[in-house]
Amino acid sequence: MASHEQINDDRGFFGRYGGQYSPEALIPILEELRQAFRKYEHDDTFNKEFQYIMHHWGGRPTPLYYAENLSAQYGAHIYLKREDLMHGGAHKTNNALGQALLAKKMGKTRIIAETGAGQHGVATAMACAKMNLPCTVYMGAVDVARQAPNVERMKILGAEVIAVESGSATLKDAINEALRDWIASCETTHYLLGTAAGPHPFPTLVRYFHKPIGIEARAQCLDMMSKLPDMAIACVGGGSNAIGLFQSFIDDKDVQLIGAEPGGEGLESNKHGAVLVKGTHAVLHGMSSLALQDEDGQIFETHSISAGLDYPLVGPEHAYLRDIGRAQYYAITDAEAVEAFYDLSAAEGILPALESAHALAQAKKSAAEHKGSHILVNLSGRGDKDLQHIMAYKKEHSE
Amino acid sequence: MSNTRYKYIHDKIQNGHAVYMPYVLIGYPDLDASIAAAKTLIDNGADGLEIGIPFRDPVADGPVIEAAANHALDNGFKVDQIITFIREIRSYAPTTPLTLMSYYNIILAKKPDIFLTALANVGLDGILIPDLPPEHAEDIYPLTQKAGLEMVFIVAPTSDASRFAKITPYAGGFIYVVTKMGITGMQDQYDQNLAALFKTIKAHFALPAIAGFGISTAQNAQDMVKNGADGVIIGSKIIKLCEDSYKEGKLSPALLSAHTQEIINAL
Ligand SMILES: Cc1ncc(COP(=O)(O)O)c(C=O)c1O
Repeated sequence: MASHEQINDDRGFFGRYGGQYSPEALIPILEELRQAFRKYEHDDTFNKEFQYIMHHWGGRPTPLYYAENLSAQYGAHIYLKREDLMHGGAHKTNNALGQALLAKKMGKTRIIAETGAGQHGVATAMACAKMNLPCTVYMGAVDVARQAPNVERMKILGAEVIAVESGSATLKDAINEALRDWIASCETTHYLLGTAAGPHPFPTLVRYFHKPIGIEARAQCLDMMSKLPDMAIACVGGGSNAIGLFQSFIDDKDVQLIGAEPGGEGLESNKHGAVLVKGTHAVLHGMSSLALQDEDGQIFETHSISAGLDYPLVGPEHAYLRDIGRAQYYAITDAEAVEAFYDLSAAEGILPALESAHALAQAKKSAAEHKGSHILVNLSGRGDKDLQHIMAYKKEHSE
Repeated sequence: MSNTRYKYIHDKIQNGHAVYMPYVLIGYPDLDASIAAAKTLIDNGADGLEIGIPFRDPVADGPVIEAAANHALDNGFKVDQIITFIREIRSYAPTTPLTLMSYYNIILAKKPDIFLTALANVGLDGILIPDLPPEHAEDIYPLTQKAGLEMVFIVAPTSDASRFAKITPYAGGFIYVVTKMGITGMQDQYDQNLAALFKTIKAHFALPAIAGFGISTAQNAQDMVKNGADGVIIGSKIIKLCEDSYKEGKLSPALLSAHTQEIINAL
């Protein structure tokens, strides 16, 4: 689908979504970033360096694993793209290292980032340690309390963690605060945004650094299945692991692309984060996209058992893929995600991240509808970080 | 410019005076108190008003305005109250230019054509959308023109001639000059090249260049004018004064009056 790429005319639009809805002070720095990205994306030396580090330090390529036991249980052939085996335990490392490398080439001397669950913060802290860049991570105060082990990890890796007290003190407030820092510091500082969202060029640039997921997975499918999968499924928070996977299959019309969103306590409860299912057109965080909001355009706080999916907006390309019908997005509840978490742990000896468990739960549903089909699931991260949340959830729901 | 209310500030500047356009946040501390604050500012000589709408995610604003916005929203502020506010201020001050500062998402949610027309009908003069750069101005420029509203744009220390050129086709009212790289707030640290910035802005635009962001004292205001500003906007300090003046559901005017007179005398 060449037209898909053409629509991204380097003003960063995917249909009516995307763009650069940012304060004037940021526009020149976004332009500097866009030009640097467009230069280095075609630079062999840069790409070789990226690939070298991702291989020797990051552990790429990650395997594709045929989950035989789970397949028997779900009634379809389930293949897992093992991003959980990446250094850092999640796909986030691709983007963090890629952008840190780009920032270095641009002569930036400081990195800032936002984080919700702390996964992107940890990935950024790792990448900055490796690239010798000082790093400040903004994290909602509520999340700092909920994700203490990741806060410690970031600190050990040398990052400064700033607890954001404003607003709901969660991810969107951390993004607001990081943007404010950037407006004041953009000459020296790169904002290492953690997902395929925000103002252009971020959605495109983050997609680029996650390209290996889809490229590897597609080749591995052809190798192991001798064909392409019937479906490719990924969870969607901001949308980076999903777009990393989907981008290599967009032109393969027979491969159904499915995103799993956080359904929280159910769509009727209003305690969810299913932006592509329930959201409406909005402009925030530098982009035109979809958001969960009230009739005055005030953005809601979202809810999910998985902090990494707790974001009231979504990357613009997913909104576009939804509108044109190229991808479908469904909500998975906390209960369904927890069930899938246990399924995979018991069947394969793999603890998935709760985010990734949303994709697995969707695979379970799709398998039930399409018995015997070949389903590719992006296992975006490992679940060790979530044990505390699983325990708390079980305790709450057994009483 | 010729037949808009901005002509008043334009003429005053032409006659060698600097103007003061303080910022009020609608609904803070409550709707009536914000109306009372606006009237007090006008009574004491404010040349125009910059009017903010509470928004949960004000990325271009600092902690003081954000906290005040959340306070107003927690007290039940609804965007429609802006119509009451502007109607009331317009009938109180028929000639004072009123500029709304609104994040784009509020306008989108309220349906731009309906919302902008309603605002113009109750007497609004212009609108400043901090997260709508000129690249996207075409999204609503035709609607503002149809409604009879000016679009006010921000120029930052990083804006160069190519940025000016993008802004020019849409810019009306005045140019809002961000005097430091950062967000609204009270820290008085400005860009070192302010004088040069104002000089290039005034050479390029036929509009008044009003300084905002990080201004709170009479001394700051004087510094701005010395550097070439045609006037100043003060925001976070006004919020603080409103907070300090609000007792038992009423806003007493003394602090705001004294502040306004002090700034105007300094200009
Ligand atoms: C393991 C894992 N998967 C998925 C996500 C969701 O982010 P995205 O939608 O950008 O892939 C996160 C975010 O923290 C994560 O840690």
